[in-house]
Amino acid sequence: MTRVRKDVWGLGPGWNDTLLWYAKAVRTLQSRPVTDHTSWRFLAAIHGMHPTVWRQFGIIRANTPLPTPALQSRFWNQCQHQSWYFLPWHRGYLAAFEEIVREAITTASGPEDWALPYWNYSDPSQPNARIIPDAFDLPTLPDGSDNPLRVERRFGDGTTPIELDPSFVSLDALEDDLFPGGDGDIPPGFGGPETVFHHGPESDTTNGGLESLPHNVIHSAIGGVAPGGNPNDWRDLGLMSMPITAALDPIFWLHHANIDRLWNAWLRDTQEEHVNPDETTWLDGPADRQFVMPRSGQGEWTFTARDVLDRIAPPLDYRYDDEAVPVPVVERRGDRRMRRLGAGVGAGRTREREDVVGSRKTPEPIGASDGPVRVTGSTSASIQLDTSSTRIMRGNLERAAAAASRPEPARVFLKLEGIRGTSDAAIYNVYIGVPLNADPADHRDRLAGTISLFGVSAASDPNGPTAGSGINQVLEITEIVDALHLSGDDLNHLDVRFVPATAAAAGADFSIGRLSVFKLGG
Amino acid sequence: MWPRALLMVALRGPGKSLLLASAAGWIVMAWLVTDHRFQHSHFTELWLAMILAMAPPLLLREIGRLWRTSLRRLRHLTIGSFLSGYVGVWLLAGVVLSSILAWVSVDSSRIAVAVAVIAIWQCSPARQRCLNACHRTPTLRLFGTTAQWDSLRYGVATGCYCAASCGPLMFLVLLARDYHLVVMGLVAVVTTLERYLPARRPGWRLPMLRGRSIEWPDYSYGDAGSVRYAP
Repeated sequence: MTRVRKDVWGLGPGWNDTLLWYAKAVRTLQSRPVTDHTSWRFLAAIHGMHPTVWRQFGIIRANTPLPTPALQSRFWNQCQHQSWYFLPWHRGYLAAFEEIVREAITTASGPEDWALPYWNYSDPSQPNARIIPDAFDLPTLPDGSDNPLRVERRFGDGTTPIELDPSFVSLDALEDDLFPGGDGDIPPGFGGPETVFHHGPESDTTNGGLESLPHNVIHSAIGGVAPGGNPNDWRDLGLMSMPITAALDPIFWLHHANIDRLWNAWLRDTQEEHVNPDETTWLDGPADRQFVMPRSGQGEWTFTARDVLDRIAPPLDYRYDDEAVPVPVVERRGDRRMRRLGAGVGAGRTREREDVVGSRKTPEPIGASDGPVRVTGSTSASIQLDTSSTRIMRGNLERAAAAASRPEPARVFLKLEGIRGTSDAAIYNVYIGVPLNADPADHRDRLAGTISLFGVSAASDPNGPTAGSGINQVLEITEIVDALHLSGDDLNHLDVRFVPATAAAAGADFSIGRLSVFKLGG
Repeated sequence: MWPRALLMVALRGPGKSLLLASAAGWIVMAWLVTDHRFQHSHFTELWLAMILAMAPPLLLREIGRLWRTSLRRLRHLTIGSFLSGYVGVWLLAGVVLSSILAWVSVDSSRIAVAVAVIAIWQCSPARQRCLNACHRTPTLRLFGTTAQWDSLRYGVATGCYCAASCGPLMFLVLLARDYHLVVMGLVAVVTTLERYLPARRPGWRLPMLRGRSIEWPDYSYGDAGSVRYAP
């Protein structure tokens, strides 16, 4: 029986059957000891767990019995981030969780076709889409008992109910052409950079397109920082703000169901010929471990990406009530670009497909900051561009505008290399080329992207899996650079402005090893 | 599976050139050994051939990063600066190891002590710190002499951590004498695989064991608050 995951807001406000059964099951799972594979805490620890943090947050006590080290090693801290395994791993994780929740529901005489709902916060037709579903905020269930979906450590922006900023639910990632990241993570790819290992030291730790926005940003926006708290101190962060606590918040699962749905929507964009990787390194990876999940009985399920591609077949056996492409393509990226440059419409289309389907191009750095940049509150930085590279680039832009048959000029990317800090909840808007005394909010066309520092603490740990190299973020700035060129800018340098996107982010303090600008193709 | 996956990554960019250089090093090494030039009097040529054979696979990540993050016209110069620093450190290490080798190899009990010290070092947290440091991504400036200076420093730092983590094993190779090539091959495989395993929390352990998820990050804070879960 193929079960249907439904839009949570489509189920109606307040308590509906789906959420009520979910709440009851969450309560059942929370009552189980952490040594039980089907307990709430064991399942959350599969995503991430740290005993000190869990004790501080009251998740476990100092004397709480934990599973054996062998079991912890096998199941816990598996979450895949900054990797092309991000989407398949979370799909398997969700499926295992859903099966265990359903088992708890059916045991309590609930519906056998129960499926995890998803939170479609990007739905323009739903006025409340960006507001956290109210069942997650209500103090009690209809029977007057405590509501297990309500979490105290869900701070958001400090107001209730939590409402997401429109820029946090952007679906720009659906415009990404390819699933895996390119060479040097330029572009980062829809599904994330190619990594060999569970946590890949052989490559940079760069967020993939969908992982970066909306996934990471939603995590930080929901978790947030305690009112009056220090955004650089993990003790003041919300559960959703850190990978080691995120899955303890019941909203986590609805958020990830939506991310999983967006993966499917991206694949259904047949016009753009989006496809999953066919490399065996992805289908059968990662190289150093198998993904493993508990089942509702005593068994376990090991899987790789290959095993979660067919959602309709067992053991997944689910679909979404809305699998349409959320943002129908009105004008392709290449067409839009060539039109703005003044070339004939349609010219960019053919060229773009050739680039995507053909061999991957190698990105080239054409500019960088002169050393690390410390970001705290609204921060400006300058990137010096290589004059000979930009001279060639400007010439190509002019020729492309004049003759539609020329190859598409180089695409341009901003790479924030080695972001280090402890402010996982920080969300920043990154602007390019905003005049010095101007308000960035008046220059939305210069917004390169919105970034979250979700996961930065672990990535900054010198003895963590990435040896403290931090995380990287790649933003495409092609259209901004084109606009600067058209406005007569000589492109000798780029001014970058980091603007806190939430009040909590204003107090964040982190560093970026290097701001780099790369060109791709052209 | 993962050596194959790593090889696929290795063959990108300048990886092919590095592996070719390594192959050349192994050919020279084989010639030196068949020509019985593994005596102390031939230490310099032996040491240079060992560096050429063993170092390139260890540097796939670093050279690849320099290739990707340097201005196109400066790539070779930047990589040259890095290699100057890296090879310089290994040459100095060769001088030190040569002296130790001369002192150790005269007596089998000294050899036994040296092997024991190497075995302890291989399992030590200090060595793991050096391996972890090899994973760390430095900040490299892009333009002018500062770019070359950063690359040189990167090469020296990588060389130091590399010599500290792999140097003792290289010493073991030098001690092997009649089995030089075989031991060198084994050491090359071990050091290369180890180099690409994820960083781990420093601690006493047998090398090459798989990382455990319960090697927690380096937080060190207080105790529990209120609990709403079952104990």
